[in-house]
Amino acid sequence: MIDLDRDLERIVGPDGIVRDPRLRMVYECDGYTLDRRVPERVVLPATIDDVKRVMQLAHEAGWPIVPRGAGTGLAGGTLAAPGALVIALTRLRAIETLDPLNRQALVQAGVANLAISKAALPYGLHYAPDPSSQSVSTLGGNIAGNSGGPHTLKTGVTTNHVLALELVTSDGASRWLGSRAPGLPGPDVTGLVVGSEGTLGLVTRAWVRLVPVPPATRTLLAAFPGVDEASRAVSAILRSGIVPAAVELMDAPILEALHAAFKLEFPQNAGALLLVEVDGLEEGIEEDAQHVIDACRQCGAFEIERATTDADRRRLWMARKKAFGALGRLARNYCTQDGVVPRTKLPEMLRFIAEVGRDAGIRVANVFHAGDGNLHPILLYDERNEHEVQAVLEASARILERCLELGGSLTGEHGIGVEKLALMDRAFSAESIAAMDRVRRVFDPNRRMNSGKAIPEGGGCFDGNAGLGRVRPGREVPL
Amino acid sequence: MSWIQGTVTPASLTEASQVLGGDNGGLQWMPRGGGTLLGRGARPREPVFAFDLSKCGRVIEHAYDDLTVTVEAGISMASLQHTLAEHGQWLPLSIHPDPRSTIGGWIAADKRTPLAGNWGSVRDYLLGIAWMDGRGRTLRAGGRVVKNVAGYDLMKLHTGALGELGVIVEATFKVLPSPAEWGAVTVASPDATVPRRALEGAPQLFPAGLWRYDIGYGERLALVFAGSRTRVNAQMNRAQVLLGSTADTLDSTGTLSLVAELERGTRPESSCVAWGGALPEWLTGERLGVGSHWCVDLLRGHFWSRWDGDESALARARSALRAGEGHMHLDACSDEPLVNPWGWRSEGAELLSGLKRALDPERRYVEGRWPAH
Repeated sequence: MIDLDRDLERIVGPDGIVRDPRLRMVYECDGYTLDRRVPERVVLPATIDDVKRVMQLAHEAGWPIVPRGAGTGLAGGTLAAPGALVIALTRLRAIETLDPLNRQALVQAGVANLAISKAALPYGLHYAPDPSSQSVSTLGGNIAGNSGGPHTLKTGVTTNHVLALELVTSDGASRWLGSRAPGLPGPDVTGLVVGSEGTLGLVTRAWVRLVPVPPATRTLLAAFPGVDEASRAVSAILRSGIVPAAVELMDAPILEALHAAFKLEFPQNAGALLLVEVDGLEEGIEEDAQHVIDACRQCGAFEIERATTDADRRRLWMARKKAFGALGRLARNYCTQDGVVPRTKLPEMLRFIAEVGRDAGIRVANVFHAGDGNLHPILLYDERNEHEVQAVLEASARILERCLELGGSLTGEHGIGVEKLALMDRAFSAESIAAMDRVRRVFDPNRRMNSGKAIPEGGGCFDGNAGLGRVRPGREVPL
Repeated sequence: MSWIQGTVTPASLTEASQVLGGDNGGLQWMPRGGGTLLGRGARPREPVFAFDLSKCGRVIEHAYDDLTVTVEAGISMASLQHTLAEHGQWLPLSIHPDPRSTIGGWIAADKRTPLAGNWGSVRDYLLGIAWMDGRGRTLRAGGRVVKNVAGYDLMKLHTGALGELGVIVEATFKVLPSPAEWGAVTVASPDATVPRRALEGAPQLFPAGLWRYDIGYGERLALVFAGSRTRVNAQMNRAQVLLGSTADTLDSTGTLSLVAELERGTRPESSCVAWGGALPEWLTGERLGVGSHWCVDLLRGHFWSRWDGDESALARARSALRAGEGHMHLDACSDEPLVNPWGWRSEGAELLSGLKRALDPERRYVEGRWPAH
């Protein structure tokens, strides 16, 4: 009889397999901690060839596959299905080629996002998508989630920067999709794979596009009496005819947490801060900054600070970058949502979020990509209190459903994962979901790739998700 | 035309759905917009009925404060740009579109112009679509907001699918504020080091176009700028230094005329057009050599050229392009597709066939136009 586990170890070596149950607990969840499950098998292949061999073995064994990067996802996209093999690609850490003349790089899936930009910086280039987790989150994970970030308002998200990728499908076959050269004819299959949350295959490496680092930047921090005024300023800025590099909003609970955690000081009576960055050539950048200042003042900003040096800029960004870390001062646990609304609906949506928080008896803080209309309401709770957990789940569903009612989306950058699967039938018709499921089965006929995530199985009617997580708000997780 | 047996032109999307849901005698449908790129792709396997959406061209919503627009797919690119211009916005895919060219056709053909070097192609602006399947049911992917990762990006599959996966009936785009000013610096017959210096050694240049071209007056290089007057003027000054004393400058009007002329060269009007892509660095010093009028985008590596019918020149160009990881294809100048326009076969033929079966399981839409077949 074939011992598949022994074969697995032969491929990845003894240090490429995680046997210790305590160590496997590291892989029980990602950044979304409401649902957890310790996987039975975890491997860390060190080469692309090993990845292919592991996938072929899993195909023979019939194991479900869960791809994983750094585990920074926020929608439970790496939650392990029963019997699944978790394949963590964090050892694929090579930037194989850096081609500054063509402004491209060939990067393995386990390379951290920020490492690409660091490698390209000597050539005056960088990799534009910059999720907040960029110092650790991997290119493979970013491709699976079509990650964005604070600076993607102007430069686009991951799909705008991936030229070609190598995909290993559930049968162990590998193929290159896309091209380093633009305009390849036929359907854009590369674009389909980006953002498919690991359900179509495992991306081992990709050619990405690099773009010039803007020579000049102006960063502004505007204080408003409340979120209503700050969110109205977002539309006013865009109406002025410029596209800022970033527009980020922080509300009063976030400022409170930042003060408690890091003693950061903010203007007195500030109910919201808007962090706005414009970039480009030195010439003209003052005009852009002035447009932003004028728009903010028209909408009620009572104090505007502007960075004139890199140190100033880092200081102004500090509040935004430390926001999530500060939340531990306010609550034991938090759940971050990721809905999107048209930018003009931000004031209405923020009022609704506050109302939902009051109804549920939970605190909600907001720090988000206002320029994209991409909300991140952070629901604060204590996981030991089942009543609070239930309230958070129900409040999350209400918020996301309202995003849909306002013409928005369930998720701007975190993905559907297991977290929002039950809401997919609110966003898409049964026929549309069935079409997505048929597309999925072209790549993975037996639905072994990250099953129970992203797309409801069974042709649109939600029929459970491979024994994972919640079916409706509530906890049904085998811990 | 022998391969198009007839044309149906529904007056509304409701009627379109009814027609598609009915019996068309077993013929396959071929979605048709303005008919400007019917000569793209291989000859369909079977005769088809054209499904003409040109009467379904409403602007559904221009959310100008959100920088998005939703339209029925039969709207012309020219009409859409006119609507956007009323609020100082544009879709940066075209300056001077063929008046017949529709949005649905633009997506289905993944039509590109020299603007793609800086601004990207239709896939970069397409936020969501609705399409009708073979039974006339409306399906959707994406949405109407600028950031959205819910569900598969099936609009990407429809991009470049030449109508094989269904008829696109609605599209939402993100749009941009129009540049206030344009300007260009051009120079005759530069050596290959000049565009390289423009890319490498001049970090203070962010060109909206870096093109080698010949539109009948000899080879030239153009550095094109767009944006605020301050920024355009600053970059024009730097570009003049880079390109030397023989360089010419163009103002906004002149630059837009040049862009329009180059864009016109991408259309198969009076002759076939060879188009494709290669590594931009490789294109800085190579000549395509298939026709007299041509344009090469050195920012991303697109190219277009008239093809005068010389098969051996075409074969040489395709062979040479391999060194630049490139590919070259042909658009016919008539509505009659060429026998082998691709000169290249997708390695993912089986995958593409599977996707065709997944989205058009009853084979109600045209087949055989992709390089995979």
